[in-house]
Order: sequence, then structure tokens, then C-alpha cells
Amino acid sequence: MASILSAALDKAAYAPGDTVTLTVDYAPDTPGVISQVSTVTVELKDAAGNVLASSPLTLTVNVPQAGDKVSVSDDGNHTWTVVSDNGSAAVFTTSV
Amino acid sequence: MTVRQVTVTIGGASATTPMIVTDTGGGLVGAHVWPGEDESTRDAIADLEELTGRPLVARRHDYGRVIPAGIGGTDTDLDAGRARKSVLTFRPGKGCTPELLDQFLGSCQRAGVVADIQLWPEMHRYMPPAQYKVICELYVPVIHDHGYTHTFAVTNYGAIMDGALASYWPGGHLADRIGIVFYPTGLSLDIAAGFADDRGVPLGLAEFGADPGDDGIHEAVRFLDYVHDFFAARKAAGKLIGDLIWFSGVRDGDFRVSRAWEFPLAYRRFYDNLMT
Repeated sequence: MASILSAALDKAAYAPGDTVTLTVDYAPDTPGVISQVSTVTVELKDAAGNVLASSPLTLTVNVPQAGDKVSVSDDGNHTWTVVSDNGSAAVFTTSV
Repeated sequence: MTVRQVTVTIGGASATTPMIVTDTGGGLVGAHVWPGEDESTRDAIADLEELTGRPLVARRHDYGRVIPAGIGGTDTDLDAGRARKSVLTFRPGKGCTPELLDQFLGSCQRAGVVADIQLWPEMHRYMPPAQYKVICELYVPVIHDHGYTHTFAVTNYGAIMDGALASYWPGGHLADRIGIVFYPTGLSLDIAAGFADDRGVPLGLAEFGADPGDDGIHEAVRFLDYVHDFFAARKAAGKLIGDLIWFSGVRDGDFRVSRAWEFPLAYRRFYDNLMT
């Protein structure tokens, strides 16, 4: 079964109108997001096509898929918006 | 203040965390958690929350005559990043300076701590009025600079029998709230309430509790019922309420919430009915 490891607000208290940020660390049973990692290599070549220098870059793309998704609600009926979700940590915001 | 319950769900799992939303003059129900021997503050907080079934949203901690240089490694660090207000007491004297308080409160502010400060609670037992007012003149502007509030904390007995409310009151520019130290003495809170209402400041309890060993369980419960009903009436009348802090510890008596089965139920009633 999926589990919620922690749910932390960014402040101890909020004044009306404040933006609230909630970070949730979780362990899904079926991932709702998978990370696709690609390596991009940047090469510097001279006019003859010889490689003078190269630098590999790692590119990670979080791709949503059917699976466990985190959702947030509260008893004040605020609307929570997901800002990011990498499959193990999700960030939500709302305003109060 | 309002405490909202934020629920996070995934699959069949869910978790709830409290979220405090402030408004003018509101107060919270919390505790001064005094750990027992060989018990950490963290464990004592967890025990209280489990016992009462309510999150600890306000916690008092007494720093005594020491002002830490920063929040790191201090007791207040346990409140940073949580939906919990830190009620901090300081008794500044030799070796303490407003600059040191400024430094500490600055680190608390950067860590996102919501705080209320009590300078020399029960000051009427330790110093003359003029000395307390000088301390307020020196330190309260520092408190305000960080967006924090200062609670003027006197015992109910001193307020009535010694006239401490009037003689030590530093003025509305140096005291944002009144917090009464309240234990069973047979005296009501009426005089303190009148004093607070005349000055338009919230009235709370800087600490309160009852020891069934001293008072007997029936008297202890009756005292707690009085506290509840008194503040429920204030709330119903739209009067300002400050923080209500249960002293849950052993000091000149055993006032712990765990002391009697009736106490956690009383705490829940306070939490559910009196927060504003």
C-alpha cells in the first residue's frame, strides 16, 4: 500500500491572503510519475570535425502515468494546486 | 486564529496536518510541556498529542535567564516549520542584552517560527514596577521589530491581592496581550478580564492547571470547568481571547495532562471550543 512519509507546511502560521506551500514525501504503490533520464552530450568541434571538448548533461523528465497520485484537501475548502511532483515528493500551494 | 486540518491522500493512505490561519486577537490552546526525567521534549510532545488526540498548536518554553545565540539546537527548533506557535519566556538580566534577543528572534523569524514572548512572567514576585517597565522599554521594541507579540503575564492572585495588573502594566505600546498565571485559589478571572477589556487587549492564560493531589479531583475538574466556561462566555460575547497554555509538568505539584483521565478530555474541550 502507498504511504505518506511526511507532509510539511512552509510556515507555522499564515495570515489571510498568504500563499501556503505544502511538501509531501510519499512512497507510491504504483508510481503516478516516472522519471525518464536522458543524457545529452554537448561537443565542441573544429572545422575538420575533430572533437575538441565534450560535456555530457543529464536531463530528467517526470512523466505522469496512471498510478497513485497525491491529492490534498482541507476543511476550509481551499483549492490546492500541484506545483511539482517527481514521483516521491510533491509540492502543493494554496492561498488562505 | 483558525486551525484548519489539511488532509493528504494517496492510494488508501492518508495523513492530516494542522494549518494555523491567524486573525486579529485570536488565541490558541496549547501547553507548556515539561518533560519527565529521561524523557525528551520531543517525546513529551508526542505523548501529549497522543493522549489528547489533538495536535499541539501552541507550546510554551521557558528560557529563564539565558537567551540563545540562535535557534539551532534549541528547544524552539522543535517548533520551526510546524503548525505550532512558540510561546517563549525570557527573564533578561545580567549577560542578556536586547542585541542578543534581536539575534535570537531574527533566527527564529528566518526559520518561520511564529512566536509570542513573555518577559519576566510573574514579575511582581521579583522586582519593583519601575524595573519591569525599563525592561519592557528595552526589549519589547526588539520583539515588535520581528513581528512578534509581547504578553504581559501576572498571577491572578497577584493581580487581585497585590494590584499587580495596574502597577506593572507597561502600557498598550509595550504589551499586546495579557496572560494570567491561573491555578485554583478560589479567585475568579473577572478583575483580569475587566482590565484587559478596558484596554482592548486579548486575555489569555500564560499558564494554568490543577493538581488533583492538592485540590482533589472534583475540585480540579471544577476548576477546569470554570476555565472552559469563562472563556466560552468570552468567545460567545465576541471578547478577545489570547493563548490558553496548560502547564503540563511537575513543579510545585503535578499538573500534567496525563495526571487524571478527566484531564485529556478537558484539554480536548478547550481545544475544540475555545480557539478563535
